[in-house]
Amino acid sequence: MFQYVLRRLLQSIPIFFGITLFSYVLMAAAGNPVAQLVFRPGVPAEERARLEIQLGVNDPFHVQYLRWLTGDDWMRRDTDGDGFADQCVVLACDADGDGQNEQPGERRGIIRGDFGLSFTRNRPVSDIFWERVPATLELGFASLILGTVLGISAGILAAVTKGRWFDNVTRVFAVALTALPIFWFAIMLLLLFAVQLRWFPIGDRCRLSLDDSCPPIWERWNYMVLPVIVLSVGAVAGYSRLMRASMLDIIHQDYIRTANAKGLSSRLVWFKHAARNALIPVATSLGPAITALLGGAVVTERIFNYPGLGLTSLTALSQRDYPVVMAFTIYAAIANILGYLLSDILYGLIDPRIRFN
Amino acid sequence: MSEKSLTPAPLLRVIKTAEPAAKSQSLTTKALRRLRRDYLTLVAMAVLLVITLLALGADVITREILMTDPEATNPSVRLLPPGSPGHVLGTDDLGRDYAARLLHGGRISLAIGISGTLLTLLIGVATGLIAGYFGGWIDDIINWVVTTLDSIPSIYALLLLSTILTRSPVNLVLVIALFGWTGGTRLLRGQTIALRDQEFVIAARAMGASAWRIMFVHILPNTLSLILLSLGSGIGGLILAESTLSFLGFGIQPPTPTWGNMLGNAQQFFSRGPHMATISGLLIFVTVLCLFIISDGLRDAFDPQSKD
Repeated sequence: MFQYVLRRLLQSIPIFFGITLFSYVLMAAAGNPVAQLVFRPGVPAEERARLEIQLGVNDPFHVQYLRWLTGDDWMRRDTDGDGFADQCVVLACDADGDGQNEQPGERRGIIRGDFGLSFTRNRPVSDIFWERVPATLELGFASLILGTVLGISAGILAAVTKGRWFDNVTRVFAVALTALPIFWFAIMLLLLFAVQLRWFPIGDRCRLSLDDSCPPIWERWNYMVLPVIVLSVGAVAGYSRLMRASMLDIIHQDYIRTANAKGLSSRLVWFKHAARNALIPVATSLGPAITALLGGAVVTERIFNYPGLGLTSLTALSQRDYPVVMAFTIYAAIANILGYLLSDILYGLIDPRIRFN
Repeated sequence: MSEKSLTPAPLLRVIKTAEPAAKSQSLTTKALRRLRRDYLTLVAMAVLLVITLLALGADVITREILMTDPEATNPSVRLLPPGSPGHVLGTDDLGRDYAARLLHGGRISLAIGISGTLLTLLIGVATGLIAGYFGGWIDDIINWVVTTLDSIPSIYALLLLSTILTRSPVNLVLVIALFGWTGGTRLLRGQTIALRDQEFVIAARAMGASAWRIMFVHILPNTLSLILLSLGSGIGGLILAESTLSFLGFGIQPPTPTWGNMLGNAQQFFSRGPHMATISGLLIFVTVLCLFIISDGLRDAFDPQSKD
């Protein structure tokens, strides 16, 4: 077990590097935003050139990538404490050639969680990230629970009533929900329940307050109802299909025939013998479910003005605030990798027949 | 030994042809018969055909019947409800004819869906064939790229890519294809691995066929049915992706209408123009639903294991 987890973690290292490389290439292709910030009118040309060299804008691509990935605190170190670098690897100590060594590097690089400062907010990106995580987590967890419970029960009932009206309705709904553009679904829910019936608020995470804080979740549950419904649509559709198929696979197996032959009630056979084993393949879909939730959060948070990761990254994208966008993309990808790992481990824990070697 | 194993074959053929020929039916005939009885799929095909024809005739219909232009603004007729004189489906917040914009928007959505899927499949099929056939380090590299791209939530990657390129329809197709080809690779890679050691491939190799010839002349045609069946759901998925991007403001930019960007500011006009929030989204939903139903129906009809 431990070996298996370790091996899977090692396998995800190249994928992690692939993700950072992909994001970095995209950021570089977007034109250097650092240069745009530095090149304000009124900055003299020699000052620009000096800043450019200090920021390393003109360094070769692989050096810039390495610096972004691993930071520059190990590239330029200050050992004698005079405020200037004196031990340098990869980068030159005196890059601009003015006879004075540069200041020591302070960036720790993204592999140590340092995504730099946000361009527009002038704060560390990781602060912004951790500030926004709770909103997305509460939406995500609530939707995952709602989606799993609804989807799995619908799938079991559909399999039990195979060919009858409940089964047919569930199957039609499952296809319809996959074809449903969730942003339109969200708008329709808002139009009906928030604008016409006024049952729920039209958006936001809680009532506006002076210090931007929100009361505990049970005092603002009405703000969560509509976004959670929207975000769980995909999970309901996916889990009900998966569970139905998995149940129908199981009921032809010998142990179910034995259970029936023993004279057990069909309720016991379906819901205890069949459903428990049918849940095994469903556990593996946790990884894809997490990816779908993170993607859906972007649209949902935008429509309901819910201040989580999705809304923040959309705003950052339209402001070309790349450090924020990079951080959120990479964190989302890591969550995704961990989700897949978790579902594989769950698979093994639930089903003792699966060996990890 | 070799003589013995060869003799039964002609005998078998004689016995087979001796049976009445009328009973044998090709897979296609059977599939078409099954399809004719699948009313849901037939209805979906009819609806999709109507939507496609309307979208294809967008220019003519707007000019000759609606007598308007999808991008002509008129502040005096803002937010008219559906059924207003001169504007069958009303107008939007800038006084543009809503029906005309829907028709033109549908044309762009369908065009992006179809061209995007074709381009996606082209990349996916090529990489999948290469990875599956050659295996080894080539397979490892392609697999690495595929798993990397798959582990980035697609909306993040699409949004990122779309900030780099200027937001024209052609670039949007490129963005979607650059990111969405991994599904095709997975499909083709698995199929190619299953086929590459079969007798007909070994025979072709023995006759001196080159790797490329084996891949594209011998293996590819055997996967064609799977590729064609994935077209429907592929187009549907891409229409959803395009409309989501355009809705978020990172896809096709106004004034060019698409079903997605027509919903972009619908929330601001909930009370005065609710039709702006309903109709174009409904059209996306119906179109994608039809494509998924047709895709499922065709898969069932052409499944050799399904019974009559």
